[in-house]
Amino acid sequence: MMRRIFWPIVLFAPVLLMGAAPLGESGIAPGSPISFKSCPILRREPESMRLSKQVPCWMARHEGKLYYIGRQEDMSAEVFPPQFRHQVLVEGVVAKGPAVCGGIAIQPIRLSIMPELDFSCQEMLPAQGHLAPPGAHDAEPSRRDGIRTRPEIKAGADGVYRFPVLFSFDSDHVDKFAYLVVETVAKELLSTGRYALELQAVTNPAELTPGGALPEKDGVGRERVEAIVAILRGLGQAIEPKVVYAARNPTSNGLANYSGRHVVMVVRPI
Amino acid sequence: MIGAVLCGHALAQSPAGGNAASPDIRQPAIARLPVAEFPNALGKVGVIMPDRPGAKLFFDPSLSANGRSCATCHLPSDAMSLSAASAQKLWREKGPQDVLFNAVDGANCPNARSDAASSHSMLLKRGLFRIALPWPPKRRDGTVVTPEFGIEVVSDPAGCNLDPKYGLHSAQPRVSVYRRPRVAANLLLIDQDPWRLAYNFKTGKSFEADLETGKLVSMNLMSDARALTLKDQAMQALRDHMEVAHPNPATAAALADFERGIYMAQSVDRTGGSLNGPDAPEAIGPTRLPMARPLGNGDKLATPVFRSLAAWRAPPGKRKLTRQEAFRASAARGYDVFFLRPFYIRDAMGINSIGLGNPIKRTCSTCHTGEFTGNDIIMGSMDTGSVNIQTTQTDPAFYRRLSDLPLFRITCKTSAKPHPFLGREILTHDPGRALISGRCADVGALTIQQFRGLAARAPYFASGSAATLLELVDFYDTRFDMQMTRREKTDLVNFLSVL
Repeated sequence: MMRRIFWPIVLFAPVLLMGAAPLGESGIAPGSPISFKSCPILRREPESMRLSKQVPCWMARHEGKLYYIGRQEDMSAEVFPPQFRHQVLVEGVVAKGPAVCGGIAIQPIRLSIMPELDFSCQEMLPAQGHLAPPGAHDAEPSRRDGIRTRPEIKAGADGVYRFPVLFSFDSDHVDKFAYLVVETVAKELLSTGRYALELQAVTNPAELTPGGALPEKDGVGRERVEAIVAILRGLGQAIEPKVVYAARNPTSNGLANYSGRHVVMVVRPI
Repeated sequence: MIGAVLCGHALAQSPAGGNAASPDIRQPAIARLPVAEFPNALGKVGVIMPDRPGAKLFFDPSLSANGRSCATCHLPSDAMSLSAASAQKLWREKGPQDVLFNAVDGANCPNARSDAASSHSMLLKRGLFRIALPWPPKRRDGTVVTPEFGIEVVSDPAGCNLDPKYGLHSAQPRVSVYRRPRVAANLLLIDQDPWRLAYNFKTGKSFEADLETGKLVSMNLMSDARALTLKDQAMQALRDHMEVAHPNPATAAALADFERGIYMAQSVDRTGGSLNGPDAPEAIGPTRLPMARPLGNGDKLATPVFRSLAAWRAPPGKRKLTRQEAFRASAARGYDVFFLRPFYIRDAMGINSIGLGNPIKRTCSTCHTGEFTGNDIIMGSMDTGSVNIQTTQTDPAFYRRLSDLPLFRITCKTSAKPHPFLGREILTHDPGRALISGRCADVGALTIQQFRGLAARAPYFASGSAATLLELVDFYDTRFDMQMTRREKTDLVNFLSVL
């Protein structure tokens, strides 16, 4: 029902490396949570591979250390990729193992694109022998169709269905995974006319490393509700659901904080 | 010989060159021809039209209040659009009396002196018609959209946006932009059901729905998707371009039905030879299009946008190619450039903003996904910098060529989401989709056009800012720092010219 939060293990298969960072050099113990906001940095492929299918790496700096935060993927990727001209909120766990693409790996990881522009966020790094690890998609037309994972339709012991729709930090953008949840609820349950809908909008600050909370903007819960209601209307479900708002306190677990930004579609039999 | 062909169409297409238009281009009889062919500088364009009741209407000037027909601006000889060269030829032959130059949109501003060529410079120089849109925007039901931004006129060479009667501060405020007429062909391939989805993952919102039928629409018609269906577009055109006070819905429906049956592509290349018939590659030539069955996204190795041009590759082991073979091999290489040559796509709202990352290393087909057409199959509204002033990676000379277009300053409200790559203050020659949606993120977003019949309908881009295919390729080469070689550019131009 919820999308997976772990990248494929193939991401961390042995890759070409130079100057691998020693373990623990991040100052944060492997296996520890890490959250920070920073400009994304693109590490390019070597010039000799400029016209090849080799894709770039995404990096980010935090407290003087360079972290690997992902490689270029396609629309099926579960992590929304970074954007030049925007800072990125990184939430995840410092990975054990060697550096990737010349940076300390974070895995699992979740990224949120900060909405406001930051024109200083446009740094590119040269390859210096680093290559992005193998992944699902290269710099060429796709070999596969988009992956569509629909949520399981299963009521709780109380007979009530609950479907969390996840959102990025400060965002009301219904992404492709979130849409599948909304569409499933609309088509499989609401369209029967036998269910009532309640939306529970939850906001969740980020807890930055080494300290300090980053709250979500006021009103983002309402915006998320409105986005879902608009999608439902587009699917032929012009309903006025009951809405409940809640705010969570952040924890040191960035992934939990990320998952805490959601709207639960609570579907009850009438 | 190969060197001469490599120069090929990249140099042959002159901004001043034009189509030797058939004298019968505005007659309905051509609808009864299997393929009506019309010469152009690079060969011939072929048009297939269905023999339906709407055919007569399409060419009938009595339909309008100002002597125009649909064919006035959507000429079969010009790939169902209008080339600047055709406009210039009509001016030379008939002057301002030709209905093409009617003041409503064929002049830079309705109050301009009609007999002066300078009053029609947008149309004559770049094939642009004036499109006047209400400000603030209005919804389909007539209610007003509260825009996320304010708009100011920075520069107004045509004089219409600051005009007291027709401009932004008039009694009926309007924004006048200048755009090329869209291609009225291959529309069944362009206007597809929105990819089996009710949701536009680019915007995070639902697609709009046809008010009559409730059916979701592609939002791929018009530069700004302001018309949701072909019938809707016909109604708007009858009212706005043909000045019919009360358009007849049945007429619009008949026109739409006719347009759905029109197919068009380059049918002969002057060097490459016939582009029709069973020997032509699968996606080349107009006769293949009525049978085309697109499966979805053409940015896939299994279903490439224009299928395969392998039959045109240089025969292995053959050292001396004929002129035709060399050209065809060049076009095949050009397809490889389009489909397989990666580069960094950057700061393009509508592609970098949708979950692919900014920048992303991909290919031309990442945006031009429409199978058999080369448009974008998923509501292809994008800002690639063709009208918004970009601050990086764009040749300043490109914007100097747009200096005769109005220039607007868009200032986004602090409560609104900014344009994802340009922020809250944007200079633009055409606010694009934002004039319909009122959204800041849509400033400068224009619907990607199809590739068919390019040889017959220069200039290119909605602003007409690329006079030739080479200038079009140069724009992207500079905009995205592709570092294309001269040979790659020639090959790509040759490929584009046979579509």
